Amino acid sequence: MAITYQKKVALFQDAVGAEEAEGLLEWLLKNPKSQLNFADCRHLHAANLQVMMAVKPVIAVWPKDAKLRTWLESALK
Amino acid sequence: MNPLLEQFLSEARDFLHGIAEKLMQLENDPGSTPVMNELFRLVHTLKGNSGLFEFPEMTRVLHAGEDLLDAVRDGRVGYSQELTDRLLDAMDFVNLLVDEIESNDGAIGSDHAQNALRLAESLRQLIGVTAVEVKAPVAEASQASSVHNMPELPRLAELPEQQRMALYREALAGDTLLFVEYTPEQECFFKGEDPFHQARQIPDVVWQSVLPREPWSAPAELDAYHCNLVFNALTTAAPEELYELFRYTPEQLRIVPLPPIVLALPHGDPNGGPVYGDFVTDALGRLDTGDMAGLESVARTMLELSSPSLWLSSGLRWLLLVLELEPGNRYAQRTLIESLGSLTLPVWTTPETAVEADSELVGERFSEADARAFADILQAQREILGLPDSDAWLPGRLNAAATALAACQRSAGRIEALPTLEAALAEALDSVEAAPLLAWLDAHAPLDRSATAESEAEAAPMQVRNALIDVESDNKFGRRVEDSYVGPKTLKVDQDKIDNLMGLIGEMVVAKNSLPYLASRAETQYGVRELGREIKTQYAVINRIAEEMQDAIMQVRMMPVSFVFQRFPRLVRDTSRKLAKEVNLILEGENTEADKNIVEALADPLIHIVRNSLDHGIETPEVRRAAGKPPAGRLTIRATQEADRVYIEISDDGKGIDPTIIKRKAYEKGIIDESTMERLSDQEAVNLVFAAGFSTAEVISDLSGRGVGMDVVRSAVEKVNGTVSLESELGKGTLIRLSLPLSMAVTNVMIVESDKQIFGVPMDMVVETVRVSRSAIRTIKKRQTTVLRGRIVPLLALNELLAIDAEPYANEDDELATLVVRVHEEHVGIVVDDFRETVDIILKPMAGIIGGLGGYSGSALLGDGSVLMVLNPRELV
Amino acid sequence: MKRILVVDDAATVRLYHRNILEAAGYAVDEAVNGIEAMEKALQTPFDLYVVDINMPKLDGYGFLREIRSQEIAQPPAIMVSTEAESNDRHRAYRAGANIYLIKPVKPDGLLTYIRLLLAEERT
Repeated sequence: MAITYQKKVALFQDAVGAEEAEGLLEWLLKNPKSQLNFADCRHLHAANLQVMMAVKPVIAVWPKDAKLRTWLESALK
Repeated sequence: MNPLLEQFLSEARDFLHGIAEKLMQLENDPGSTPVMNELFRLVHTLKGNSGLFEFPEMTRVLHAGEDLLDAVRDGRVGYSQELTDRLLDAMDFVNLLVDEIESNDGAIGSDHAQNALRLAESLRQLIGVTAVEVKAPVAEASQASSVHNMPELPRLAELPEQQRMALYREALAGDTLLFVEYTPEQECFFKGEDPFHQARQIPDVVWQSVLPREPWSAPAELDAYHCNLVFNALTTAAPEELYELFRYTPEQLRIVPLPPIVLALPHGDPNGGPVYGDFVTDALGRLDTGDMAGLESVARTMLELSSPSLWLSSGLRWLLLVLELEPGNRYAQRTLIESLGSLTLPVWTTPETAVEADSELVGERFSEADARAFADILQAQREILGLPDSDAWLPGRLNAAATALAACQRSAGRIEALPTLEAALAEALDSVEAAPLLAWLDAHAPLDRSATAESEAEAAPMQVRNALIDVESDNKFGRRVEDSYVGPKTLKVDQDKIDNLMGLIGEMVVAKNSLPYLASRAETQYGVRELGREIKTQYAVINRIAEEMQDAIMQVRMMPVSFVFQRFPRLVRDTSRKLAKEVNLILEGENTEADKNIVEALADPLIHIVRNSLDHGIETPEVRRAAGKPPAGRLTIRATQEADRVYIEISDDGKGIDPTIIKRKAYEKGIIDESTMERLSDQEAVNLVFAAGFSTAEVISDLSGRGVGMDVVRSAVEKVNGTVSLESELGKGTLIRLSLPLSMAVTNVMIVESDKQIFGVPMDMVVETVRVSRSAIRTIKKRQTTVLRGRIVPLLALNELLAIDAEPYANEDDELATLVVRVHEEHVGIVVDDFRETVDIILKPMAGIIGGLGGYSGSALLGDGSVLMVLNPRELV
Repeated sequence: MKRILVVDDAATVRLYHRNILEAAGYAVDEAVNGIEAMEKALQTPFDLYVVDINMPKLDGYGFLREIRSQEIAQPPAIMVSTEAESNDRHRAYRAGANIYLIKPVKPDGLLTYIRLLLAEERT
């Protein structure tokens, strides 16, 4: 699974597909104080991106991939 | 009262009348596009009219109404009773205003503002954007100006100054700076697209942003799969690269070339710095007198005196850089100096700024407004000439643009430019492209300050070539798609070609089937056992390949059942409305796939079943309430696949089928006799609805057909080797289950022999083959039966069924070869003379006169060239 | 006298434009939709078109595309719309408009553009 949900942190790994978006949204709604960790994320489908843009969660760790990080920051910061 | 106002009031009344009428029509026919469009047009036009006067209350309400209708027209908002109510309220208000304007000599009292706000808000609530402040009343809008929607570059200043400066250098050296706006389709996720991935492929991005297309809805109401994103990027990539990248969705891409100067944005601490109040005045004075060396010198001195982290210092660095790289760009220099005075960011991107640069035109001939309009028109022609050349009416457009340009030049007194314009037009018309005119425009039109120009660089760097590089043109990019080395992943293939391939594979299967014959002939006729064995080995190989080929082609023919399912939402809505019932339709498993023929054959039976369910199954809300059910009925259509079959279940929570009524009806119609009526179980009784000529409706409605019952469904399903079954619980609902083969192209049949003829029987109907001893046959009620696995199975002789005048042939042990087949969930034994092998055949339906013969489902060619008649036991027994 | 064709389905807007244009010394003819405009434009030449977008039968885009497809003199066209969307402007230019103005157009503003497009010096 590309998103691992821990207690307060959602761990994004590798490439996260469109099918995760709904679950992510639900999880973010249920855990409003949660944080996201993108350290090992290579890519995430646009559906996930827009979920995060709408919910504005706290980003704990930005991706190591610099280009992805720039894109994400431009969308989420 | 002035005639214009009179005209307005009288027309407004007509419009209001028309609007009310259309709203009523829409109520009866909410899906009607023409009515919707007309309604929109009326409100839109009335709003436009009201904008000509100072009636902000009226315009505000109408504007909200227009936006709402626009949303309904686009399908963003569904039609509702509420919508009509609110629009009618709003129109009543407008009517009241019209009356007041008339009686009050052209004025509206001040006490309406509150109501206007409230009504507009109530309309906007339906669109779902309540928070958005209503646009300023049109009447307050400033004077006419053409619109230039240049992209906003809100956060360009975030880039480190050094990077921006480097970029500025590169851009001036030739790397065009492109602003890219990529707006993916809202439904794109369902097409398997990932716009974010696509955006990330944009090369050489120096700045980017991702924005919502519409304001985000509340997180709890967010539809994760409705794409609401817009990607913006600034790139130095070549336009061709971008076109290549977006070659499948060019319409979602907008590219605007930007002048490099947009990068010149000072940043830093705005406070502090040396007190040198006259710097701005001094610098501007030097600029005006052309003392460039002096300007550079004061700027440098100033910079040396200032802390580098100051906003001021950053501005000075930019000024020096622009002086170095764009010495002729007075406009940019002036803007930078002025921004140093005001400590506000220079505004580079709006062409209105560029237009003001044209102020040197202003003089005896031109007023300020003229100069602005002049530049506006030039800018518009530039944009027009930058459009794709593919439109058929291009010559007309070029002519008109040239006429407009010539007129402007003449107005400005620049008649000397006219002959070259004429020549450019002739060349453009000749080559059917806008380029020559565009070149003329570049050479002549850019703010002809050249009269006083000191350098060639003066040639108006601010005249942004913001002609949208248009990507709409098919011609332009169609070729590119074909040339593209990256092949598309999906092919569109003509159905005939697939059918042809299918036919060829069928022949191949048949040809392959001749090999076993050949092998046995080699053995028996020619006595070459070895050769026979080798042929058999080869056959096994060819057989495997043929099977795989068949499989592969089957896959190509597979299509999702959504093809059929997609028509149900509308059908259910319309039908239930007609019947005054409330129904929630639930579709599941739409992606389940089956052979195209199967899916297509599914359409009619399914529609019939759904209509039946709406018609006879689901009750009206009153009846349901009385029965303690929710007023809205539930209709579920679910597709699933198991092994090599597709199952479609249609279930409702309606009133179910009453077996006693069915029994009575069946008896009345003579379908069953009295004793059967007593004997039938409820389940069996319910299944009588499939009997020919059965219809339960007390009154035949115009929906589920006139007297056409479930027997039609059954025969349609059976035609593609499917079965249908029904379960019903009185008062609780009905479930109909269709079981269909995944594909119907190749049929596996068992060959049986009777009276020295051979026949095929589809294997999916064969339960087992047994040899029944004559002694085990009992005659019950004049029918021959035997007991197999604890079950009484009726026996029928094939010869008798086919009217062949011969007795069944028994073997030495006095046993009869019996093929047990499943017919309508019952087992029936068909007595034949002997069993033979099973073969794969391509079943061809019978045509012509023999097509009318019952009992056969078709014919097929065998490996030895003979024709095999394939029986249809369902019709036979 | 320069002749201008005003194409708009709203009588109020036509009258509004007529008032402004006639006061400025132009001859004005009107058409209530694209079809009527086509008929008039093919009958007698005009020096300028002032065209609305949203009209029944044939809208402003349709009229411009049709008229630009004809082999006749091609006078400039002003498209007047209430839409501030850049898409609409883009469509207007593509169809054959030469400038795109947003309603309501103030008399002075409209006349400024018209004077320039008719090559008349300011008096």
